[in-house]
Amino acid sequence: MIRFENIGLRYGVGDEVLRDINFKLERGSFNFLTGPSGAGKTSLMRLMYLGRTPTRGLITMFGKNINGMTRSEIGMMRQKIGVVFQEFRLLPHLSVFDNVALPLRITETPEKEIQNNVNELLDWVGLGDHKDQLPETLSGGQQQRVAIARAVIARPKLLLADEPTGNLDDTIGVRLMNLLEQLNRMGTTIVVATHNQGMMNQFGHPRLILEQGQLHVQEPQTWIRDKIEGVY
Amino acid sequence: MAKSVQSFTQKAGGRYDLPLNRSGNGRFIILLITMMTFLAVLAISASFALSGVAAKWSTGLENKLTIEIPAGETDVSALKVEVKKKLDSIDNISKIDVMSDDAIAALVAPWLGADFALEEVPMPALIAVETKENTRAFIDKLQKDLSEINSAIIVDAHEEWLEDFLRMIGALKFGAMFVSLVIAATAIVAITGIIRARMSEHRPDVELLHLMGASDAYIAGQFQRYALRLGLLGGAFGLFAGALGLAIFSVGINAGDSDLFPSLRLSGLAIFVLFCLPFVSCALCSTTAKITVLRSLARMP
Ligand SMILES: Nc1ncnc2c1ncn2[C@@H]1O[C@H](COP(=O)(O)OP(=O)(O)OP(=O)(O)O)[C@@H](O)[C@H]1O
Ligand SMILES: [Mg+2]
Repeated sequence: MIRFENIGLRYGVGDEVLRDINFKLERGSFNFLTGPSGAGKTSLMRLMYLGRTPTRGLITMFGKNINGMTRSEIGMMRQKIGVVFQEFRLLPHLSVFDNVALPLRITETPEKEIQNNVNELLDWVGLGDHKDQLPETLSGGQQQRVAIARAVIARPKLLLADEPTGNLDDTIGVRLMNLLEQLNRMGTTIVVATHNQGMMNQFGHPRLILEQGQLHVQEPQTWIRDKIEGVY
Repeated sequence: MAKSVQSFTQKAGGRYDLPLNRSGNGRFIILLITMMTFLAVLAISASFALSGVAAKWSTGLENKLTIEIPAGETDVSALKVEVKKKLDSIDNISKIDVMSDDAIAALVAPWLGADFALEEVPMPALIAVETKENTRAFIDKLQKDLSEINSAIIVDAHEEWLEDFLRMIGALKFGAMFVSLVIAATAIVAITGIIRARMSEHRPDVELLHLMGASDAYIAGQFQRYALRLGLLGGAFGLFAGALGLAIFSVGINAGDSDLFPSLRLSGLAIFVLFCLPFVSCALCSTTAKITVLRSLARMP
């Protein structure tokens, strides 16, 4: 599904914020991405949603080397990726409904289908009564739910969520994690960046750990062993 | 008005993901396009009106020549006969009218006074000729042939001064068309600038759409629709203002009852062209917007 080989990324002329990143995510897997603030989680996600090209290395997504792709192929691939941005990036002048509907409109889904799907999902994330409001009139947690709804509405093949539960209380956080689990069971590959140890413990998925721009992968079993051995 | 256009574009499947239709200076841009269309209406009407003047002045004179045998030491009446014989032999000449001395006397009377004695003054001979086809080559050949009879004979093609006049009209017409082109070019520059400003104003949102996988055409379509609306409104207002201006202007001109200027009545073609202006303005705005947006999108990864 995703393969990074010797990836390096720098912004401008600064030092590399990601160095020698190597990993592979299987189709249908559920992964946590963790590490201290500033370690490069958001940057790694940016590479995965094709928001930036790496300074070096080879990225293969959906079985394709992204270097050789045309503009329209990249566009099509982006349509298969849902992203929950750390800072939400909702369109401020669009209603909650229209924000969530955006990915469907881009792919020119029939309006009737849009109405049905968006309303259903908004009810599900508990925003059924706020459809016509503008994002700025919502609380942080409500905005976050809009961002999540927008990311999943088009049933992406790959879902990248950057701190999706940061502003949510535990009940709603767990509920949203359950939504992601459900999507995952339907075949969506998922990467969730988070600091939330409790949540990672509760859902035993493999972890990608970033530290100072370098990545190591921890399978759940090793993680449990480490825990028993008192490393964490 | 703006409200109804907005609902029209929404009905037509037009929905803005970017708040382009709410931007404050939309009205300013419409005003700009209105003024440009107004100027274009004036320039194009002027161009058509000048065509009308030129057409009016060139018909009726075209196939006529006057041959003058100047008064002088030679025997004018003998030359007259010889010239007539020569003209009779030319195929291209359809009518020969040798002016009588009385007619010539009447022509020169204003200069000489009515009571002069015809015999005392050497009189020129004038022969009016109508041709089937009046080409420059024919006139030159005729002049050459007649010069062989007597070098003093002059072929007056009437057109000589008319040609200058028509050339001047042609230049004015060209000027008017050139002004129209300059107006169009100015409009393109203005719209490019406006769309660029809009793009950078909404850059984060445009980037987001791009990251969601929206095609370049989808994003450009948003700006195109916006530009189309500005172009249509500005074009329609400009046409209206221009028509009003023309009406006032033509009342002024036609009151003078001048023969030089044909009444400022525009031909069907002219009116058709003027009515196309709002659509031209739309097409110009929309295409310019499309090209501008596609060019800046091409710079996004
Ligand atoms: N657009 C950018 N331009 C320049 N430097 C950047 C940019 N984005 C991130 N960085 C730098 O890259 C490094 C990694 O940042 P990143 O946002 O990826 O970290 P993070 O792991 O997501 O942090 P957090 O947990 O706080 O969200 C930081 O040192 C940051 O300053
Ligand atoms: Mg981050």
